[in-house]
Amino acid sequence: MEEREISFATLPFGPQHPASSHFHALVKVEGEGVLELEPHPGYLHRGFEKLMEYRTHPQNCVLVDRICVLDPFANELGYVNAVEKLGNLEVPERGRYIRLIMTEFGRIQSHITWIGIMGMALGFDSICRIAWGDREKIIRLNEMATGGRLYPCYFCLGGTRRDISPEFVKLAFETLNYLEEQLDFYDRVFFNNESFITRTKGVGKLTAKEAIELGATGPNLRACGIDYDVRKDEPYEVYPKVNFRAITRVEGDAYARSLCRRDEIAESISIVRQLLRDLPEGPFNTEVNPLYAAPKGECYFCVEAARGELCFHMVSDGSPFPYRVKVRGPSFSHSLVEFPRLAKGAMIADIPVIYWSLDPCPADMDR
Amino acid sequence: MSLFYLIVFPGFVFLVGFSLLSEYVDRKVTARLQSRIGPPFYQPWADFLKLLSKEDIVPERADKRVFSVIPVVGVTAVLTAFVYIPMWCSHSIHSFTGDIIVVIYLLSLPTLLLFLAGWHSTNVFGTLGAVRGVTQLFGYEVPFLLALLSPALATGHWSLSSIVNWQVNHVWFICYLPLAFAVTIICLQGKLERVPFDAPHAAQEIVAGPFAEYSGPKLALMRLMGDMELVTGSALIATLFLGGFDYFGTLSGFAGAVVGFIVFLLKTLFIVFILACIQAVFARLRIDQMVNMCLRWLVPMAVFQLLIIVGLKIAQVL
Amino acid sequence: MVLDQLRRVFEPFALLKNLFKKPMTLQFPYEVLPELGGYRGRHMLDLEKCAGCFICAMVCPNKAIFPVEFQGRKYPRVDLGKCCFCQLCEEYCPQNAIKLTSYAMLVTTDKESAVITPEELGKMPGH
Repeated sequence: MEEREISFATLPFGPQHPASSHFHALVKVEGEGVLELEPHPGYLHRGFEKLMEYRTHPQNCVLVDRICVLDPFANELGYVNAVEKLGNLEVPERGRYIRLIMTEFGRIQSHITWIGIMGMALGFDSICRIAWGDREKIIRLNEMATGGRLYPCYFCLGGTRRDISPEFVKLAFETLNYLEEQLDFYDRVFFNNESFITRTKGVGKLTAKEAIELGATGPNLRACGIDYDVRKDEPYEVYPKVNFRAITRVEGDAYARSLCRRDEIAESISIVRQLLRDLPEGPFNTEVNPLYAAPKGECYFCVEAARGELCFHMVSDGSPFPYRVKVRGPSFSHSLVEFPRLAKGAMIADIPVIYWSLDPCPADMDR
Repeated sequence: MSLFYLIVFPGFVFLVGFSLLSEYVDRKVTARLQSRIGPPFYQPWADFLKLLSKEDIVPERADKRVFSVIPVVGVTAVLTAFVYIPMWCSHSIHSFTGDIIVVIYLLSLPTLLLFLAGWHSTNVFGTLGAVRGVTQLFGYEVPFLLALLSPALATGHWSLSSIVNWQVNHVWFICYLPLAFAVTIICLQGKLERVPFDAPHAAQEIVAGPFAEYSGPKLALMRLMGDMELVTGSALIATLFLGGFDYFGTLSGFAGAVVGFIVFLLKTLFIVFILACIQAVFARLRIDQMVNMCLRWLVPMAVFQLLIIVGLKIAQVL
Repeated sequence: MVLDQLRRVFEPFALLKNLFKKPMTLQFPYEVLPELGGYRGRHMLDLEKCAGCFICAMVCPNKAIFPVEFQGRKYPRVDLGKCCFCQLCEEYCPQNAIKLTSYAMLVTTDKESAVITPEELGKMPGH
């Protein structure tokens, strides 16, 4: 019996790479086929959980934006809701509605950014430029309401820091109309593009059983046929008053995940319309002591970020500084567990496609 | 006199200028399709001069002589191909029967040179890009040859100048051979390694492929070779299918030649415009999907076109 | 099936209508986006109102505010390299002395000029 030596090359899918965006992995390839993919996390580790132990709650609210930059409102929403649940704090109705309006706009913005990056990973430069131009309109809305384009620093304990004006509501409706037209345009140019369908159909197939075992959440899970959306199954804020559905698909490949995200943009547009229509008058926050000390105890709060389930485990010991904050980032299981599993046996050309169809954010993988 | 033709006009100097102009047209059209403003007209010149002034790094384990010679051979090959295309009158600088085959052969040299470049870079990305480039050659070369030779088969002449002459006296070939026109456009996109067929130097997967280890003046020459290939390929299609320098109306003498020349340049830029549109609208195909598509769609189309030619000849139309 | 595929090959050419529309690019700094009001830019300090209590320094998450001597008493100095422009100093200032203007042209090649002294804080930015 003779032993055959398999010769392989190691490709870096490195942190400085046109397609990988701060995620480091080493790929063992033989010809065009991938033998193994070994992820190396930690490039973007900034130590948020430790930093948050030395800051009071108002200071943490402006810090927590940076955990996942592409969808900042979800981070803030999770943190303030965790502390409010611990301390049983009151939030007025208008504050809750404003929070959800901004969060859903953040979700639309995150998915539009994803459309651009997915196009870039496929070599389709045009859609990237056009999508990020449309994202600019939502970022202008952020600027109008919160004063910051990408880091809003908007939610605080008890509500929001500023109110929204009637001009904002008018601009929001105009932006929603524009986005609906653009969604039609993206359908024609991107989602119904034969080259896109050829590249993504059947690639990176995740079965329902694997998805649950490996901890997939968000659109990745719903594309495998499992109907689980934190907004519907464990609702928070005013989601019970809004009429929407969780988008599911059956196939579980990259194409299904892409279409899930596209349909989620349409659903979010409808949610924001309902929220803007039903926006109540009144105060937008309750006064909370800046050195607010949450009562002793712990609390685990999950929100549905654009990428999946973002959870905050807050442990308080009765002082103004949290004793321990553990953040469960949705991209942790996506990039470190599912991506290597799906990349095994694929071709090199499929690696960026699989990676970006899972929509991971290295920032919230590493925290 | 012919030395002047070869080196200055319409030889080397003119070709360099015109290829940088067509790179500008390509980038501007792509930018406008993407809702951007795009670079100013002197941008390709600026890029070329900037690259010439950068440091020239050759990897340690690479074969220095082959590495350095490849860009020069590439530029020479494409320049030689351009010389045979008739630009303002019914004979190019040097034309002979069978020069269409020579042009097509010279145009496939850059792909082989890119393979050598990637192989001799001793870089994993380079090797992958090189192998993909040659795999892609299997896909597009057969339909490209079949479709480009359709005008020659239709007229029975095997020289570019005589084919253009035939079109001047009759009708442009795009009316009789639209399928071949479509096939050549798609295959030229593959030969030039542009989206949707740019797997050999796919930036997002194998950072720049064969170009990864080139820097400085050598990279400038490689990019110039790509641009010159774009111009030569477009000029070839314009000559074979759109009538070259033929235009509606007749002017004789020097004025006729000048107008014919400008019309020829405009037709070449029109083909560049079509290629730029295709580049902006599609995503990149995987290498096996690309070869699959070529062998499944383009080869039958080219063969069907040949059958149409046979039919037209029997019906005494051609 | 084949017709569907062909349709999906030709449909994306709807992108060509972008050739007839104005580009989205904004040629900064020759063209600027109109101000919407409320943008969080560089700080400005009302030197009369400031009481020197330094609640702003205590509440700053990144410790970007530091007391320094100016005109015989202590005033805050802001290090823009550390500042995250969160506006907590403005929110908790009891005298409403420190505010964030919407001035955002803060690019500099000199590290020392990123630390804003109380004298500069007293003037409107951009002058």
